[in-house]
Parts: sequence; C-alpha cells; structure tokens
Amino acid sequence: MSLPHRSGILPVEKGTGVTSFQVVAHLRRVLRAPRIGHGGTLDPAATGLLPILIGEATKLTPYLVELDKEYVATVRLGITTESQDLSGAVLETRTVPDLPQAALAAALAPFVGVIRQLPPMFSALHRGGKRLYDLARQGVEVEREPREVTIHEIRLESVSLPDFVIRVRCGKGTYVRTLAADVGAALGCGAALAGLVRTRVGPYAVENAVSWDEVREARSGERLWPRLLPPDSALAALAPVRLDAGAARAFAHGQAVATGLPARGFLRVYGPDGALLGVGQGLGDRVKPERLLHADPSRPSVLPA
Amino acid sequence: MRILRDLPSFPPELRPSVAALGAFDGIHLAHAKILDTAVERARALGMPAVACTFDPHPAAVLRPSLAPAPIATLEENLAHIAERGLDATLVIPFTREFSRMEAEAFVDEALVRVLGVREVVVGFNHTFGSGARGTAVLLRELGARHGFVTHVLPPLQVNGLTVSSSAIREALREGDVELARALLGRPYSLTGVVQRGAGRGRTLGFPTANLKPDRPLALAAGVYAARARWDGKGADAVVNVGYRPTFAEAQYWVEAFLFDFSGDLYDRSLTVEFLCRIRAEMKFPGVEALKAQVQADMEEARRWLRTQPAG
Repeated sequence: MSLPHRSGILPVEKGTGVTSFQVVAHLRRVLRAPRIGHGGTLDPAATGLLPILIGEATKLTPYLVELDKEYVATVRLGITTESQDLSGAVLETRTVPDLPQAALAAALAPFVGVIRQLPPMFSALHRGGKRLYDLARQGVEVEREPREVTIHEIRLESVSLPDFVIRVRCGKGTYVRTLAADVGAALGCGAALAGLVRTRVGPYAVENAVSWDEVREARSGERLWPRLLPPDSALAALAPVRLDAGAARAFAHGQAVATGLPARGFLRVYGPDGALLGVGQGLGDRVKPERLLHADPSRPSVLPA
Repeated sequence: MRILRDLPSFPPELRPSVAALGAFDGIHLAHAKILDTAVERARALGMPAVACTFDPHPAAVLRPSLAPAPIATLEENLAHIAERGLDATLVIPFTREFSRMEAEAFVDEALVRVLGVREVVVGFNHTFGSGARGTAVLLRELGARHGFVTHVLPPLQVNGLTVSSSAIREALREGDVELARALLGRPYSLTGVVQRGAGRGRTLGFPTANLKPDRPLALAAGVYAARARWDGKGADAVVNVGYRPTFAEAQYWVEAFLFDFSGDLYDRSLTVEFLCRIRAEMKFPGVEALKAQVQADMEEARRWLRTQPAG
C-alpha cells in the first residue's frame, strides 16, 4: 500500500517519563513517515505540548523553535539541586519562610523582561563538541556564558508552600528550571523545579493536541492523519504574500521576484492557488526564497493567503 | 508511633509525608541516619515522617536458601524506628507477588498514591522493585516526574568499614560482637523466654538461665561476655551460645550464667546483649574438663566486663 506524501504539524501532548525522541520514533513507525522531527525538546519528566513536524514541514523547524512558549511550572522552595529540578542530587535544604502571596509576586517581577540566565550544567547545550550534561555527569564544571532570554510574562497561579505554581510566557532558549532556581536564590531559601507542563508553542495549544495515550495506542496513521495541521500554521507570525503564476514559478526555482509590496524580514509566500511555496526574505519590493516547500495540493491552506 | 501493616490501611491524615525507604533490618548507624534525615525534613516541612519497610526481609522471600538470619525481629526494628521519632511505619507484606511489581509501579502506587511523598530518603545502595531495577538514580528520575525530592545518603564509614546490614551479619557469623556493636551503635542482643532446661548447669555447680530464642541464630556459637536484662533489672553474665556439642544435642540454645544473682527467672523474658566473645564453641572429653573451662570462661568474662563502664 502506498501512502500519500503528507506534511504538516501534529501537536502531541507528551506523557511523563517519555523522551521527546521516543515520541518521534514511535510516530515515525506508525505514520511510516521517513521525515519527521519535533519542535523543541521537552525533558522526560515534563509533560505538555510537543509539536511534531512531518514531511516537507520538517523544513520549518528553525521557524518553530523561534516561537514563544508558555509553561505552567511548579516551583518547590527550600531545596537546591544539582540539576535545578528534582532529578538531581540535593545540594542544600533551607527553611522556607512564610511568604505572603504579595511577597512571592514581588520576587517574580524582576524576572520579567530581557534577563540573563546562566544555562544549567545539566543541559543539552554543547561545549567543545560535548553535551554539558555528559560533562556534568563526569563531574566537570564548565564555565558557561550567561545568555540573554526574554520572559514576557510570569503569572502566579497558586501558592501552597513550599510549592507555588507560575504560568510563564517566554522566548526561545529560556530554561524554566533556571528561572525556578534563580527565584529561589532571590528569596534566599533556594528552589527547584518540581513540575513542568508546556501549554503553548506559538499558535499551538496543548488543549488541541493529540494525547500521548492516543499516539501510543495508534497502530496506524488512520486516526492521526486527520489531526495534522498544515505547514503554514507554523508561520502564522509571518506576513503573507501571494504571487501570480509566473512569479510563483520563478520563486520555486530559487529566484527573487517582484511583489509590488514593500516588505522586510521573513514572509510566508503563497502561489496563485493559495498553496504555500515557502518562506521568503523581503527585500523591499522583491522577495528572495529562503526555504522552499514542495507543493502538497491535497492540503489547502488554513490561513488567508 | 503508628504501625500500618499493609498499603490499604495507610490513613489519609498521614499524607503528604516524608518517607524513609529501606529493608531496615537491625536499625544500624546508617539506618539511623536515614531515619533521622526523614524526621528532620518532615519537621521542616510540617508533615509526618513515615518509615516504609518490608516484612519478611525481601531476601528471605526471594532467596530463602541463601538468606542470612535477620539481625533483629520486626518488633525490635519497629521499637528502634520509633526511638528515632518517626510518626508512623508502613510495613509492606513482602510476597512473591509483591516482588514482581516494577520499580515504577511501586513508586507510583505505594510512594506517590498511598504515602503521598514529598521527599524520600534512601541509602545509596537501596534497590527496589522487580529485579532490583529501582535504584537511587531511578528514584530521582521518578521523583522529577511525580514532584518529590530524593535524598540519597552516601555510605557511612565506621573504623574504615561501610556500615551495612550485611557487614553486621558477617561480623555476627564470625562472632565479632564488638565490630557488630560498632556498626549497630549498640550491642547485638537476643531475647527469649527463660525455660526449664535439663538442670545440668545446676548439677555442674553453675545454675544458668536457658533461653528459648525467638529467632534463627545469626551469631556464631561460642562463649560471650554479656549483659543480661529483664524487668528493668540487669546483671553481667557469661553466655554460651551453641548446639552444646558435649551433650550431643542438635538444638541451638542460649545459656546465661548471671554474676552476683540468685533467684528464679523461669518464664520471664530475658534480653542478652553480647559484648565480647571469650572463645569459640568446643567439645570436651568429659564433665571435669568442661567444668574447668567454664570456670576459666567466667573469670575471663568477669575480667573483661570490669574494664567496661557499668551498664
């Protein structure tokens, strides 16, 4: 049986104890999709939204990882661990002060905005060709550069000391467990991340995701294919531009074409029939191909072209 | 301290809790450290400290032929756990069926659902679940999923030796009760009811209290300097542990000769704390040789006990 080549984004709600890689490996088998990947690792202990890119949509991974994310995080006060979550050795325990909600909210406020984070030693970042967590396991402490990350919003959802729950909306590369540890340090008693759910990645929300149970139990793609969102759903943040037939052909062959509209930055580029051609770079009144997708005529766009 | 004999009887008012997890046979110095850490964390968090242990000892169920005799009875272990200030002990009946439970399921069902653990304290070498797959590393990983903290205590060294139940059992097998005491943090002891024996001690001129011990023998046969305790009273003693080869009896028996004591101890519960081994078990050519040796043993035991602070 030959399956149609289909591409798009499948939002999956990852279960606990499963690695992001296992989700992808399982779906590769079930969907018989040779090209498949995920849009940003979730720790094994974390749950929530894991967008899966399939087929031509895998080319959009760099745009997906740029998207803002939203997490609901449980922070445990009074404990400092090696990994900044509960999976690492306990380094220190301290008494948790009886903090009123207002004091907690005040302690969170300075972490909103463009802030500097020191990436945790237990992270997937590379240093000298080795992953930091591999070095950490060997007991090597590496000098790390603080990185700038953007936190748009922190909302205190509930407090039940020594735990409190926050909803964090943040940009690319933010470590929520580092945020937890830094808030703990600011409060003087230390803290570690005790639970993490990713609720949003850009336009995708966990409420609309396929549950891990559904994914795990699927023996074929029958129930999963209809849940696929079109590739351009990952590009909702980019301005659209529609080309006529001639320009579309030239664009698809890698040539910059005139649009008649002045635009800078990345654009999502459609053909005359509304099919996504790819991502273009706006150069004034012309657009240059940045990443081309092969047409998938069976899948109409959901976004206005 | 409350004692819960199975998972379903664990009351909701003891949740959430801080748990000390272990097979806890003997309650030695490393066990004490685990239990104390759990109590300390529980007080800091304002929740109950619960010891979670198993009965019988898992080894007795999984490898009955290889399983060593336990160091202490469950009742003694529970008494020592209570002394450390725990609020409750959950004693999970260890069956073959229970032993097949996967480590993840044990954590999920027992620790998370029943005990509602916020923090768990274990020794570095504790294993749990089917095939002993559950290690401290896995426990931490599962803790990150379920939202509990795992404290893994490092090995505890005494006189350059790592404190463990197996090191203590080995010391006892060798009759080295002084080493066992150093690792346990208190003397190794046996308790039993004083029975009417054959009256041979009396005829030999040394009336002894004959104990029917309440457990399999973990201690090497031989003669020991000891402290006997009963009804809040105490006396120095010389104790013979063994099979009494001279009289060709197969049964293991504990005979205590109490110094400076005369009276009737029949049917009373007597505890013997073993302090020093005087000699190994031996066979004598006749009653006179035995008498002479017993006299020598008593003098040796007395001499040794005089060097010790009064108990």
